[in-house]
Amino acid sequence: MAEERRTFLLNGWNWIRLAAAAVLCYPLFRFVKFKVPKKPRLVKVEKLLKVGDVYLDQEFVLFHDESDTWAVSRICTHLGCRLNFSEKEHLLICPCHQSMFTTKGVMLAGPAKRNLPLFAVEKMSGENAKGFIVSL
Amino acid sequence: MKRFLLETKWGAMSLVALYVSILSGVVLALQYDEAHPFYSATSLDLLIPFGIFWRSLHFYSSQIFFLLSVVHLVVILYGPADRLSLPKWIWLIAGMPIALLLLFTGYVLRGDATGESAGLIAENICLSIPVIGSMLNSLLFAITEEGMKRVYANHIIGLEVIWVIFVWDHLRRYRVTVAEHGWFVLGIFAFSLIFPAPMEPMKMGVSHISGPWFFLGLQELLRYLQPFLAGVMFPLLFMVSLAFLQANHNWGRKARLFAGSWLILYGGFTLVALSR
Repeated sequence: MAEERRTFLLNGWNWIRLAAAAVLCYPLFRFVKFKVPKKPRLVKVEKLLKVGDVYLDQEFVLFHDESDTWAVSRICTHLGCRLNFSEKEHLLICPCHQSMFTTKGVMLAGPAKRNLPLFAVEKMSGENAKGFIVSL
Repeated sequence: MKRFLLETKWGAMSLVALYVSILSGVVLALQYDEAHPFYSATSLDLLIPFGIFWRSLHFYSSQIFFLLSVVHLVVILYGPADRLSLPKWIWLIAGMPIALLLLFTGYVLRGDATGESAGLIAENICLSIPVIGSMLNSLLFAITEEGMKRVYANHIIGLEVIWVIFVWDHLRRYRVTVAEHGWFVLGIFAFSLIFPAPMEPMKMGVSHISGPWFFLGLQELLRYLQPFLAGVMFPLLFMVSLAFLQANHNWGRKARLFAGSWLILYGGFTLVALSR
């Protein structure tokens, strides 16, 4: 009887140790799995844009109209192909599978399922400064 | 016709084309710079003396190598050749997808509109694989993080070594000398002199580009299915059927029927992609 009780306690103790190890693993997994957001990269567009102008970089497209200047990602959210700007349709079109996005990055036609990310744009200030800074 | 198919040494010719491909690849590597793939590839075409010839020779000899190995495989399957044991056959046939990857990485390394897009698509398909996707992408592509560095390393050495490991037992049984196929080699050289290898520069406003011919069906399928289904599961089914092509009795017949139907379906998708 005493031996049975000892075995039961020993098994219980082993289960507690296992549970404790599992609990300790949780913060480890959370720590390892976390992805630190990339430090923003600043890209200078040293160009004066007129109203209606479009500037194509490898990673983004910069639009400029009467009221606003904005940059939208050029990487398709379907499979990562580089989007092109169609002047005729005033849309961003993926050459690989023809997903379509508005100039504000809103998805109009698939196979892409997500909108394009927008990047912050700042106008360069200073005497000789001309153009924009895009934070990627 | 049947006699011609069975008596032509497709395997030997394929190997000779591979010799030409490797030698021309070594020559190209002396000028190619993976840090600036498109600039480098266009420099070969426009600036470097005979650059376009060496690039075309590498391009066409590699294509011929792959196509002739496919013909060799089909002829062997339907001919009277001895059957291999299942493990040996699976080991040997694993060389086929590796050869296709070699061809594919060559396309990507051009860095032109087709090459860059194909590489990015391959990277995203890899990443769509649960659990091992990220590791596989790091091994094969990692274009977004590393540019063409890893694709280049795999193209010039990694995939070759793996291919040789798979086919070594098969190759060491046969002795193939280039001299026996002099006219064939001369033909590849002449063809490469006349027809420059394709190159598609990035153009503003282009709303359609086609991938490499062997992945056109896949490009089309990716419109309708999730990347994991279209880019991994669908090709995987074909590869599994390849593994059983030579199996005896029912399994072999079923595998051949499945592989044939798969190819017809894939050909249909390719035609649809071509018509766009």
